[in-house]
Amino acid sequence: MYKKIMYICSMTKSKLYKGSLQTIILKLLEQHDKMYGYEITKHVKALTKGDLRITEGALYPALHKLEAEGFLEAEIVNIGNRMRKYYKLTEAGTKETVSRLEELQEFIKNMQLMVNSKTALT
Amino acid sequence: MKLNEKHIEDLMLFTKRHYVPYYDLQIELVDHLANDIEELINANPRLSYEEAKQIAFKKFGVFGFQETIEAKRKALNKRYFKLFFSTFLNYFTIPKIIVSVSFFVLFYFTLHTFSTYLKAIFYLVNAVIICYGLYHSTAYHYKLKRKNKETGKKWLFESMSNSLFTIIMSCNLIIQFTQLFFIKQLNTSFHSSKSLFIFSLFTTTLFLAIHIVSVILPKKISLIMQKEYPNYRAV
Repeated sequence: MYKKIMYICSMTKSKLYKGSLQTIILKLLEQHDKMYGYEITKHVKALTKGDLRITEGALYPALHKLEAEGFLEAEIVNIGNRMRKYYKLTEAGTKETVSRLEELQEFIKNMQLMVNSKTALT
Repeated sequence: MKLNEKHIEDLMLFTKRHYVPYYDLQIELVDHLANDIEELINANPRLSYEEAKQIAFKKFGVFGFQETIEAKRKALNKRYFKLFFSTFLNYFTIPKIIVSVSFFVLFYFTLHTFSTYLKAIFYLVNAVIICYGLYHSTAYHYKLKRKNKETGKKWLFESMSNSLFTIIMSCNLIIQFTQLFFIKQLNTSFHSSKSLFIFSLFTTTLFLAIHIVSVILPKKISLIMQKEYPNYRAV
């Protein structure tokens, strides 16, 4: 059976998801103490049962942007044969997560109202 | 399957060959590729390391690592300018404002004392400041080059603190600005205290900006790197 998979990447048409990528990352980091890039893609894929996949070309730019804005801080750990860069929320990042999630929930609520309304979109 | 040291070295070379010369970016990309390769081979043991590497790399899209490098550069630029402005503003708060005011007073009285040669003194003081910046910037540039050669590692954020280019561009802008707005005023009312105030303020700002860019920021960035990367060696 054909299963539609949403890819969050720079070439995608799924702008709704693309606009929420940073919020998704912040939310995941709020739930986990620290995470590395690959782990984030795996978590999103597992949570959405493969429906949503964050591509490499979109993930790292988003992580670097959040880091530059001071919402994330990095920690480099030696894991044996290589180094690993972990990201964790800063104090400003924790506040930003709350505010972005509220914004997203408000957006979802309004969209549901619009979509479910019999007159609004007709 | 777990990748060994040789595989990791190969991945380091692979990222280098794909235009990622910076170690701070290589770390993250190599770890990502390694994780993906390990998972691909575990899922399909018939897959060779080389085949898995190509599959993992293709996931970065048609431009390879370019988008990631550009985004990192943009993000670090933002971080650099944030650092610059916060350091600059620090010179207008207690206690560092004492330093700024002292320089302002020094420039004001120098210009006032030699007001007969105001135009020449003004340019001379500014030329000395620019030379001061260029000297520190060039010295840092060579130290950084030597260190990169010794360690075989180039760091993107550190390369941004090599501010030679920034200083040259700033000087060019300042000279243009001076020619446009001040020359006329110099010829008409250069003895007025208002002119002296503007020139002193301009010179103080130029000195602080050049001092921050060429002396303070390289040190600050070095400290940040030491804190973030355990195997970073300071200049």
